[in-house]
Amino acid sequence: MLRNWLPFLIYGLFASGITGLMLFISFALSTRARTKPAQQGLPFESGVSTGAPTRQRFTIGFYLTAMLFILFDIEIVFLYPLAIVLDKLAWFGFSELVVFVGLLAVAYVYVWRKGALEWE
Amino acid sequence: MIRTPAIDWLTLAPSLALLAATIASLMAAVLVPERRRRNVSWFFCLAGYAGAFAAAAILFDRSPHSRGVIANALFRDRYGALAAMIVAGVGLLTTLVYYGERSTVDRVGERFALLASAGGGMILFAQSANLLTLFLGLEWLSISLYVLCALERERPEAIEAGFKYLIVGGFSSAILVFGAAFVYGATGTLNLAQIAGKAPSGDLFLITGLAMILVGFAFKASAAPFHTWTPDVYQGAATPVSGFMAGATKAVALLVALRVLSVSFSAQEHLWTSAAAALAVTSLVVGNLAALAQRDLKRMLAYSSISHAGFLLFAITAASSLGTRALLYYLIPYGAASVGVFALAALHERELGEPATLDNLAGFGWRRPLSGIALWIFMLSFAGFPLTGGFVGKVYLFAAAYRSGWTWLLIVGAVATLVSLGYYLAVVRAIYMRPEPGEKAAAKEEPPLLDRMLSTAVFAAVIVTVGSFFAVQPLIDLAKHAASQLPL
Repeated sequence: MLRNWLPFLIYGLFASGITGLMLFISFALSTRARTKPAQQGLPFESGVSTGAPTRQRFTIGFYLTAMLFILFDIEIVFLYPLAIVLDKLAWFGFSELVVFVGLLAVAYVYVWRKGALEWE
Repeated sequence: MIRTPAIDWLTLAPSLALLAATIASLMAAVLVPERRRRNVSWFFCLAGYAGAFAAAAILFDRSPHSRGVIANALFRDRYGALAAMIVAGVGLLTTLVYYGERSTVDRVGERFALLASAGGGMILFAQSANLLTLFLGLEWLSISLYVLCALERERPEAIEAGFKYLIVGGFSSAILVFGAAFVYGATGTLNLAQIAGKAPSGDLFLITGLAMILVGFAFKASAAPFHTWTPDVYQGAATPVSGFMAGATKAVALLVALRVLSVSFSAQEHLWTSAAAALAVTSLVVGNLAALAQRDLKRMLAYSSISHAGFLLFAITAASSLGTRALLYYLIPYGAASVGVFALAALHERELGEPATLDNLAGFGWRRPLSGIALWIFMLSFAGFPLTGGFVGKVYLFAAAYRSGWTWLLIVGAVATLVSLGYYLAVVRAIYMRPEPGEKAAAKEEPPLLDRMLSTAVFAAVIVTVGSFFAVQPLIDLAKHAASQLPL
């Protein structure tokens, strides 16, 4: 009974391992100054900003492109399982694949003609 | 080799026609020159709905026996075909009304693509034979409608409507799919026909699933107490879209609810009939009382549609073949009158350039005599007066409830009908018996803009609303054929 859950345990270990690794690497490889930044040593003056704002803002165009990327990226992921069993599904699978890619192409033409891919 | 399902193209034809229309009008929206964009997109949407209607009629004719097709994902039967015909009819009229709605040039084609898409989803939803296709159809129609509501993003009300509908609609879909998961857990199948009898009828998971699925449907049908999104959404969305939601979305939500309950949960009938009765009474009370207090026409109609959800739920409460017939019949005049009345609201808005209220409707009946007559025909049909299909529909629903022993529900329904006269007749009073304000009289001088598409749609809606009173027998026969395929 418990043996049935072994794949889940391995899956869980992988999931937490990869996440942990990513967190660790971003600390280990970061290019932060080891010493305290000079600004932290400055006396605090109320109301006067002592340096450039540290928060960066992205333009809206970034989000649009990112969203479109994710949309099409996720759709492409669906092609992998289909590719694996395509020879078993034969023409049925192939026609399904063509329909799917065709629908994606329609969406792509729309996005393209709408000008969402132009970077302003 | 993996065994692949045989495709029954005729069953898919209505939704495929609308899917093709969606793609064609979406492509027209970006590839056709701006000047002709509206006409071309509109034409594809209209052709899609006409094709879907024709395909559904053929499907109705050629499906004398209910059976599951395409690996039991869809039902091929007359019940689904008639639902598809109702959706396609309402969609056809809405397309006509939507043509003249003002819009910015860069989104003039998309709205027709979305309208066609919503109809395609509704038809798939109505034909679905397992909980997965059901959810797929529901999301297809809902996502199209969310975007359609918020399409005119220049108007803050449209954004509000789209946002509220998105949040509440997403929430309700989540409840429904969670319920489906419970049902799957209890029975081990998603197939509607196989759910019945797989688990003991008192199984806690199954009952929980049933309750959650019922709540999901109640949200979509805007039955109280799950109606709170309705007034804001109907008020904020483009007026033809509100008519479409009242006429088509509510119809499929109730039809699919009745199908799921009767096919999969026949053993729990005593539970869901009581639940439907409770929903019906709440909807009647909330819808009617709140409608009395409204001054904005679209908001008033939204509450009226909530109260109609109450009346239509009588059919589910009755859980009988007569109730199913009554529901199918009543949805025909109700759908026509919904599109028609919102079309007239749209006409009035376009003339005034501001939302239609009971106050600024003053003199409408004298200024536009034919539209005035149409408006009171729709109001009388909603109220259930003779000479309109609404009368026959209500009589049928009441008879079904009575036959199944819900006498007290009948009394609530009768009182609700009396109360509803208060606001339906208030509209008739407003358009004829109120003095026209002076500044509005000046607007009279201008030549009235004639929208031939809108007039055609209103005329067709009047024909259906009145015609369904005189042509009861053929329509009842259609409903009877469709209803006989549900196990009630």
